[in-house]
Formats: sequence, structure tokens, C-alpha cells
Amino acid sequence: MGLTGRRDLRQDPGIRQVEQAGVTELFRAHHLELVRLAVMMTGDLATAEDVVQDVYERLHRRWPAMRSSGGLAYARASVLNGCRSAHRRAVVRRKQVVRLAGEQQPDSDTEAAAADRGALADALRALPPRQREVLVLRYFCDLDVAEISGMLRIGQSSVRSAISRGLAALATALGEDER
Amino acid sequence: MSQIERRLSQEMHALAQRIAPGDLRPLRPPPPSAWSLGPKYWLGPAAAMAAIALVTSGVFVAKHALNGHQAPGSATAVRSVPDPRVVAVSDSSSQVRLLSATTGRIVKRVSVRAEGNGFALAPDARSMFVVGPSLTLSQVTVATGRAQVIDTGAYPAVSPDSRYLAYATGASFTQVAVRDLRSGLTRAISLTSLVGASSSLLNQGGLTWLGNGSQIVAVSEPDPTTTYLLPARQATVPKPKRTACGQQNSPHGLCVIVINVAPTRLFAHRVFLPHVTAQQNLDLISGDLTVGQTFFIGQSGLPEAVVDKVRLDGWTPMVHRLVELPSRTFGAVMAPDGDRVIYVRTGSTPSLWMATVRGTRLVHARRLLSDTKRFEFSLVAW
Repeated sequence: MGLTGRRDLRQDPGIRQVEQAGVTELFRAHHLELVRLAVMMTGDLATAEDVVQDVYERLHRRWPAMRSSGGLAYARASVLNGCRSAHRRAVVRRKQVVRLAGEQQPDSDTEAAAADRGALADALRALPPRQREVLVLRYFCDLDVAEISGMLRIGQSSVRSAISRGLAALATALGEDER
Repeated sequence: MSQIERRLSQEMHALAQRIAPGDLRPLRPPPPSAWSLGPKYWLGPAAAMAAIALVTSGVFVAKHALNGHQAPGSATAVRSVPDPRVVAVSDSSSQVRLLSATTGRIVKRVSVRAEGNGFALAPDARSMFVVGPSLTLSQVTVATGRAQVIDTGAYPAVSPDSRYLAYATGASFTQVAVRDLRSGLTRAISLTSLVGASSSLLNQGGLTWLGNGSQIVAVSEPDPTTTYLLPARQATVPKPKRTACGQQNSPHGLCVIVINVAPTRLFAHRVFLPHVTAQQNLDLISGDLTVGQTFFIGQSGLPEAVVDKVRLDGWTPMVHRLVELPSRTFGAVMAPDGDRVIYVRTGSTPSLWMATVRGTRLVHARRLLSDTKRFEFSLVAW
């Protein structure tokens, strides 16, 4: 007996095509939203687009994992992971560039872009990744604590704590009252 | 919602609104993954493996076809199954006894008269082949005891796959025939030029298949009665050549004839076995079915009876002593995989013994049966 009644759905080309088409439709429908989420995390449109593209390709290959989870939630979590990886790569790259070329001064375009983003965006980017993720999900994606907890796979108390600390850090950076 | 929360939310949404749909690069279609390639993904390795297998098998088949080792039906069949569980023993009575090779107990008696000049039991133990009166070769179904005359012949030998029967035949018994037991199609080859015009395979000969299922070894011993069987005009032929197998007077050793059973024809050549002379009695010749081109040959007449193992797969035949049998015995038959031997102990009450060959010694010898009626064991097949 055993496995005779089971069938590996991955081997079924018909089901596979339908599911992959579902992934494509999901990303087409939420492309802008996911890129904006990534921009909040990375602060850079080009990096955000690359992150979303990478996530799209990865989920296209790993459709069963996405099928078992909520589609958009899984995509958001994947984008956050991708942003985290991009951040780590950027840190490493920055260290290498500094080591090879010496300390670089920001040019006028970079200063203008920073001014355009605003002080709050810069303060947000200065937060630790976990606090930044929680704040973006809470105040940009309008998710509640439970949803953030499920997406990031951390406890709700941790979410509340991260929100509280993040807001306090932002308030301190911007010189505002937290209340 | 506090002031900082409201500001955070507003600024983040404002920042997001600056990113318009038209600013985005469209999503690129993902590269084809392993799954989306489907069967094509495996096509490359599978095709490579198939090509390797094809080339290997082609080389193998070509090599064996050129050497004439291709057998009809089961060309490269080398025995991998255990020995048949049954040993057939015939004496001068009209009965063949089938013994369990494990216990020695008689498991069946078949009423059929075998008069010497060969006796064979098919490896599947479903049928046996006996040479009856007037050299009539018959196939006997073990289950029913029903006998069916096949031909005039002697020294039957069944191929390892139980499909083909080889036997000596012809007017002067210098031919070897190969019969397909399924279709009844029979092919024959004349060995007159190899055996010698004044000799034959009869009376003192032997025939066996090799483990590859595509070669037969025939051996004849000098027989003074042979010339009486030949027509008068042939009896006056000149003295046979020293290289003729029939007289076994070559200084190069015992002469055996190797018959290659190719799909389309039979062809044969002589092989001289060094250090094996025809001065001893040929007791047994039996193919080693576990390897391709090896057989056992048992002789007696010198101080002790011996069983030698002969390999034909090299440039020259290699003979080495397998085992020496106890005194006053002679070999009767080897197990198809060569690990056991059945021999006859002579004396006032002849008895049939089985022993295991270990190294160059016999161990675990035990008596299978005694011939209290003095019929004598004339034929044993395994």
C-alpha cells in the first residue's frame, strides 16, 4: 500500500502551469504595492524593483510553498526577506568600496535625493531592520499586530515592543513628542 | 494614534505615491525552471546515458558476434540461480531415480530405460534426455514420465536456459546437432575433419554446454570399436593425423572441440588442453555455469581420480587441478556452479557420494545412496 494513492502534484504539468500562472497574476496585480513596500525598506527604487523581481522568480519556482500560504502575505514576507538580503549585500559592498577607494563624500545628487525623501524617511532607514519592518507593515501596509506577528513569525509582544521602540527612536530622531 | 504615528503613516504613503505605475520596470518573465522544462530537463542526461549504453552494448555484441559467441536466444546467459535441487541417477535397471541434492532422499522414480552414451537433466528439472536402445535419444517429461523420441543421438546436453539440446549424431557420430526444444528446429555441424575420419564421439565421448550458453565442448577418447561401426570403405582410410581429436595422440595434450553456436550457423575449432592426457579415463565433463568459458573435466586411472578446471577465455587454455577425489572413486558429475561433486565409490557395494569442494579438498562428504543390487551407477546428471 503506502504511497500508491498519493501523487506528487509538482509532476503534474497542468497543475503546475495553473499555479505558476497564479503567481504571475498575483505579482502583476500587486507589483506596485510590493515595490513600494520594498522602497520603504530599502529607500531605493532600483533596489526595490530588483528585490521584487527576484522574489517573483523565486516564487515562480517554489509555487507549492506559496500555494500553501496566503499568496499576498507570502509575497510580502518574501519581499521583506529580500530587502534584508539586499541590505546585507549593500553593507558588504559599501565596506569594500570604502576600503578600496577611501571615504567618499556624498555628491550633490545624493544630498538632493535625501532632502526629497525627507527627514522621517532617513530616520526610518536608520532604524534596526526589525523595527523598520514592523513600522512599515503597521503604518504603510496597515496590518494589525496579529498579522505582522504571523508574517514575521515573531510573537505579538515582540511586534508591540518593536513598534514602541521604533516610534520612540523616530520621535527622538525627529525631535517630536511620541504621544 | 499618536502624532508620530500619523506623520509616519502620512509620509510613507506620500512617498509611496511618488512611485507611479509608469515608473516601474515591467516584471520580466522568469527564466525557465527545471520543472517548467519538464521532460526536456531529463532528456539530456537520459540521452547521454542511452548513448553510452548503446555504444557499450554495441561493442559487446560486436565483439561476441565476431568471436562467434552469440547464442540463439540467450547469448550471454551466465547462471546466477542456485543449483537444481534434483540429481538424476540412472543405473542398468529400467528406472531413473531423482534425488534431492540437499538430503539425498529419492523424490521421484521415472520408469525409463537408459543404456549409456549420455544422460542429461535439464537445468529446470522438467525434462531429461536418455539414450535408449539403438541409440534413440528421447526426451522424458519428469512430471509424467512420458518419453518422446527425438533423434538418433548420444551424449545429450541441455543449455543453461533449458532451451537448446546438443547431442552427437550422424551416421558415424561425428556430428553435433543443436535442437531448439521449443520449435524443434535442429541444426548440425560435422566434426569429421576435427575428430578424424576413423573416430567418432561415440562410446567414450562427452558433451557439455559452457556457462555463456553459446558454446559447446565436445571431447572424444580413442575407441578401438569405432572403426567397426564405420562403413567398409571408410575403414580403410589412411592412418589418422596426430592432430585428430578422435585418436587423442597429440603431444599437445587432450584435444577438445569447441563448438560456437552462432545465430545463423555452427562452427568449431580444436583446443588442446596442456598437461591433460588421454591416458586416463574420461569420467566427466561438465560446464561451469557460473562463468562463461570454463568447464570441469574429471579423469581417473592414475593413482587417484581428479577433477580439473579448464578455462578457455585466454589465448591458451588454462588447466588447474580443482580437487583430488578419494581413492577407489571416480567422478560422476559436478554441480552446475562447481561447488560440489558427486562421485562413485567402487567396491563390493558401490555407493554414490556427494561432497563440497573447498580449496583443493573435499569436505562434508556424505553418501547419497548405495547400490545393493549391483546395478551400478552408470549415469548421473545434475
